[in-house]
Amino acid sequence: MTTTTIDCATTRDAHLQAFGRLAPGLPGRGIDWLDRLRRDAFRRFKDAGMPHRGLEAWKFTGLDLLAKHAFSPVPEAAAEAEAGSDFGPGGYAAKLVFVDGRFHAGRSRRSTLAKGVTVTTLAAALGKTPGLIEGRLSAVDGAAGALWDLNAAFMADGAVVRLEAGAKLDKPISLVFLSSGAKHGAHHVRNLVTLGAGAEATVIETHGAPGGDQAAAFSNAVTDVALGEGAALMHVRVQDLGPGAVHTARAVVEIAKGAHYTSFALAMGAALSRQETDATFTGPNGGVRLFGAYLGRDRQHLDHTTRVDHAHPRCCTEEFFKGVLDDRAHGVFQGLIRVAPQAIGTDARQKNQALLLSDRAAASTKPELEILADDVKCTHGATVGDLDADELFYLMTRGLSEAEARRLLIAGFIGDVIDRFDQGAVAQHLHACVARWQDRDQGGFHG
Amino acid sequence: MNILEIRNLHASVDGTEILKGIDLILPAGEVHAIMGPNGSGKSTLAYVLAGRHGYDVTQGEVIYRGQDLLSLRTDERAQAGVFLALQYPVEIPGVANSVFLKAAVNAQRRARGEAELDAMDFLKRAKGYLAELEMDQEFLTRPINVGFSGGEKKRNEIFQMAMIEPTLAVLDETDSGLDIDALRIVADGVNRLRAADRAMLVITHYQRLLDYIVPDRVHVLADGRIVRTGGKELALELEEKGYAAFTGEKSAA
Ligand SMILES: Nc1ncnc2c1ncn2[C@@H]1O[C@H](COP(=O)(O)OP(=O)(O)OP(=O)(O)O)[C@@H](O)[C@H]1O
Ligand SMILES: [Mg+2]
Repeated sequence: MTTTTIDCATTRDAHLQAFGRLAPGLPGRGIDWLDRLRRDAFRRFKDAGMPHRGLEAWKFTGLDLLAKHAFSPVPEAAAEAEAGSDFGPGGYAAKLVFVDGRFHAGRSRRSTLAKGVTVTTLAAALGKTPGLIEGRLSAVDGAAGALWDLNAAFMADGAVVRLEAGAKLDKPISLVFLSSGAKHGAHHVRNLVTLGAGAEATVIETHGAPGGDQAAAFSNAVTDVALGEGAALMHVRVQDLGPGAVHTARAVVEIAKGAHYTSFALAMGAALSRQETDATFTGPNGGVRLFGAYLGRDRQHLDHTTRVDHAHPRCCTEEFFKGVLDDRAHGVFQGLIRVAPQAIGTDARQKNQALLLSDRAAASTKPELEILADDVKCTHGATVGDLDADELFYLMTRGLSEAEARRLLIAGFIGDVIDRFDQGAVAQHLHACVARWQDRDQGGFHG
Repeated sequence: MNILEIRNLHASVDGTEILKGIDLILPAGEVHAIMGPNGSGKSTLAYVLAGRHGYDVTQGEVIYRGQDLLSLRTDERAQAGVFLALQYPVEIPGVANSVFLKAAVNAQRRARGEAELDAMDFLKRAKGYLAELEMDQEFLTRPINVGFSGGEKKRNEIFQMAMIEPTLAVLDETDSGLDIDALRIVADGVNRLRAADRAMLVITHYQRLLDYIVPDRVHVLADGRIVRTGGKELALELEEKGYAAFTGEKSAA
């Protein structure tokens, strides 16, 4: 196997070297505030380096793979990626496809959208109306750290979804991010989802690799979500990348008065995956519901990390994550909920359950409830276990083989959290993703 | 022909012998009742017949339609026509009744070399039985037994039995937790399944059930042994005298 560009040892080196070369070609070049933003982010990244296990937030998840291989930013849109046309759900209002972090017009579908709805790309928005997205782009996320900085420095494209006040979409917007076969490529997409007061939408992100691509890529995505008063967003993220991939993704969410953010993060592909959600209430009476699942086998490492900041009264948070881990897979759930002194009447619940199908699989859970207010309800529960022998027996007394019974129980275990998230078409899509993961298990079960 | 022949069956759980030599012949077309005090081994017998892990047969044999039942796995027994209605049906969140039952019915049909039921046929049959058992249709989309009342769980067992049409049905206290009306509905469901080529083993504590499901024989199980066998009038005698007479007899012997 020959490697062409690699004369640097790590992903960090590769990015440090590439910035000077690539920056002139990145979208929005010449826009003052953006050039500055990229430069500042790059400098911070240069100083801080990649996150490492010495940091509290990263103690369960090491990015060793990024040090082992030099993932380099992909300089331009890759040639046609194979297949992948069925990535993402059907029945969408619009579908934007990005290949190696760049918009792919040929695969995308944009029919006429409802009044007050704009769906475009970051590159296009920076070209035509940069002023409209300046506010969101330059809201530097102080807590985000090096991966956010890396994204800010190198972001080449992404989706921009904007709903004016009162606009409603009855079908989802599908955003598909494909990694092509480019070996050890890195791409950094930035999505902006902005909902005006009372607007309602569903956005489904699918991060995949056509044909279960073996070539490793590093995708580092940031989705910025801003919800106006009383707005409601359903946000799904499905990570189904190829077995060598490294995926880090961050949803940064602002929730105004009475707005509701509901999300489902599904991790089932990649060698290493970390999906973060960072939600902040900017007014009272808002709601955050975070659901998710990790499905791991082999030596996959799948991490869900959430942080919800309650700084206003009477907001609710519900978190429910489940995982199924086979072989030597490792699942991580970290959930930080901060309740500031003025956030009276907060109601926060957090639950995490993992199913370990093998002795060598492991699940780590770190709940953190920082409660500085009185009159709040906060609960946390975590369980780890194997499939229930009574349930297996029950199904087998009805004629299901052990393999069929296990499959049904695993689907049900994850199905339970999907059902709590949604009962409609979006849930159907997630159930189908889980079934696809189950179908991939060639070796059969070894209990 | 006999559906079931149990000979000198001994079984242990965690090294403790619970069944201490059971003999029972269940001819085709018959319904036998098993009664006995708490802890006498009734559910253990049911589990041994279903092949539950951890229930170790240490002696004896069980012949089902001329075939060695004990050498079959739980699912193979089910596919061969053995059905167990559990004393405590299990709740399984996330798995819809219809998904489960369709998988079960078709696993059995496949095993018997029959064509699988398609979604339409399945639904038609399911709806028919639900109506007979006076159960709500929306029940099909609910997760298995989750949030069901005790009585609803028992009805679900009978519903499953109706859909599966077993050759041998073992009902472990299916009457417990049922109100009078439900008892009648469940008993009707059982009676409908009675047929010349089938047999049933009905475990119960209450003579009342046997007014509705009239048994051909009644066996009294005490301390892991069948201590008495008789006709349906034996149930009345038990109701009157209690088990003490039988268990007492036993320990005095
Ligand atoms: N795992 C176990 N280890 C030891 N003893 C057990 C175990 N499981 C069951 N037993 C014992 O086996 C005996 C028979 O139990 P079984 O459940 O068969 O009784 P039963 O006749 O069905 O009672 P009931 O009328 O209360 O349903 C009981 O004494 C019970 O405590
Ligand atoms: Mg019992």
